[in-house]
Amino acid sequence: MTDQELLGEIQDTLLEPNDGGLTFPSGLWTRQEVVDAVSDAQNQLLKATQLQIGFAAIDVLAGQARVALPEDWLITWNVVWIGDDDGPVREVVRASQFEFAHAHPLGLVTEGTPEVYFDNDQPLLQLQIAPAPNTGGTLIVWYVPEGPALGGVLAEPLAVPDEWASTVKYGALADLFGKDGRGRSPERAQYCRGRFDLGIEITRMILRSTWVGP
Amino acid sequence: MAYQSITRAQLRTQLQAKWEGVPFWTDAEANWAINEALRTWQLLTGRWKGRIVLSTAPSQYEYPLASTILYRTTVTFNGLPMTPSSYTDLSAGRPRWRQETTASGGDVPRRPTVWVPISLGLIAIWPADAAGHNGLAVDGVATTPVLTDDAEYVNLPSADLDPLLGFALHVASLKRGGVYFQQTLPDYQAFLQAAAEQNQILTTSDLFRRWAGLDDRALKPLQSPSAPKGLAVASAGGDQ
Repeated sequence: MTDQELLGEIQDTLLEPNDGGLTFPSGLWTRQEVVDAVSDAQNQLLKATQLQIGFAAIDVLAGQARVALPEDWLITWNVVWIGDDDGPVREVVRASQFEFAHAHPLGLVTEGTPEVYFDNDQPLLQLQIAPAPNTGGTLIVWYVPEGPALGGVLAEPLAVPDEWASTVKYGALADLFGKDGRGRSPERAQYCRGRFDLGIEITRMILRSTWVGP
Repeated sequence: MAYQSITRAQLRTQLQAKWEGVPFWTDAEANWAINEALRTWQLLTGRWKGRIVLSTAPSQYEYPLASTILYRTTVTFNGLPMTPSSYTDLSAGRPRWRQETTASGGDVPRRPTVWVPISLGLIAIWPADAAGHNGLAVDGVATTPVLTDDAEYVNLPSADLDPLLGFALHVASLKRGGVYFQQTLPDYQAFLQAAAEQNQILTTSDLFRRWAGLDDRALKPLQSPSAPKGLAVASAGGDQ
């Protein structure tokens, strides 16, 4: 499903004429508001469920502890270290500065093969590995990427499969019905928020490996 | 073989019979409501299945899946079943799994025996097939066969259509809100209950059971009311 098709369905629900999301003549919502609501709902769904996974291969120099994450990064899923020159391939697990410091209380381990990564107490869009690598290598960062920009001139496919498009729609409608003004509909906003939450719940069940369907 | 008893046009006529004659909804709205019902049904029940066959590449352990498969359920290698696992378990049990192939020797199997899901459209196998050019068959839940033409048949038995039509009516009535929308909530619950009959795993979710009206709070008098907040306020009459 494309963004224009979804915007058209939203227009139908908001009693606006369906023109693929081009105009909202009632004045109750602007086009940009609606597009932003859809983008936000999509990204919330992606972040909450980790429905789609992307990866980035980041070159790391010897002694470099912090690396820059891609700009579309939402949440880290997994990190793998690959040393240069057929060096070790090691899973780098999530930890915290506190855990690493207590695992090495004497502070003697400053360089080596990365064991852990932290992304919660660093500046945004930065990831720290510890210990810092004593040789160069590549960090494969598996992460949940943001969806692409929506609402452009050309129809853009959603970042989620069509079966999840309605979850995105209800997430957006929850914001739009909740907007203060003549278009406000608090009961429908709460209903749509509930449908969005149920969509997230179903998605999490599907992504567990035990989901086998009927 | 697919069911060929009811077309989109016929299904839309049945849906339009459920709402009053005033043309509050267009044919196009009825069509997308029907397709949303089909997609949601597929999401909840995995009714339509599919299979894709990939050819393994030498020493490759990750395989992207075609978009015709929504999510995977079983994987076989040259017709032999592979065991599902999780990425965490595989990484914990075999830390060097990425570097192991069927030619590694030692305790590494001589054919891929384990598969793990990484995301909806990506799986990994262990060990990687050193030789390549073998068949990897992935069975799974297919993408929804939505209806794009009035002459297309809906691939479902007629017994499954009533809850779908009720859900389509419920989806369309959100536009009106108020009492009209309130009156379609039982149709939504009936749809969820029908989905739960097809897929019992849904009933393991407390949130799902509450939305589907399957949670008998009479047995739990000290707990809060059963309906989720959004459903409760909509049931109270909406905002008109």
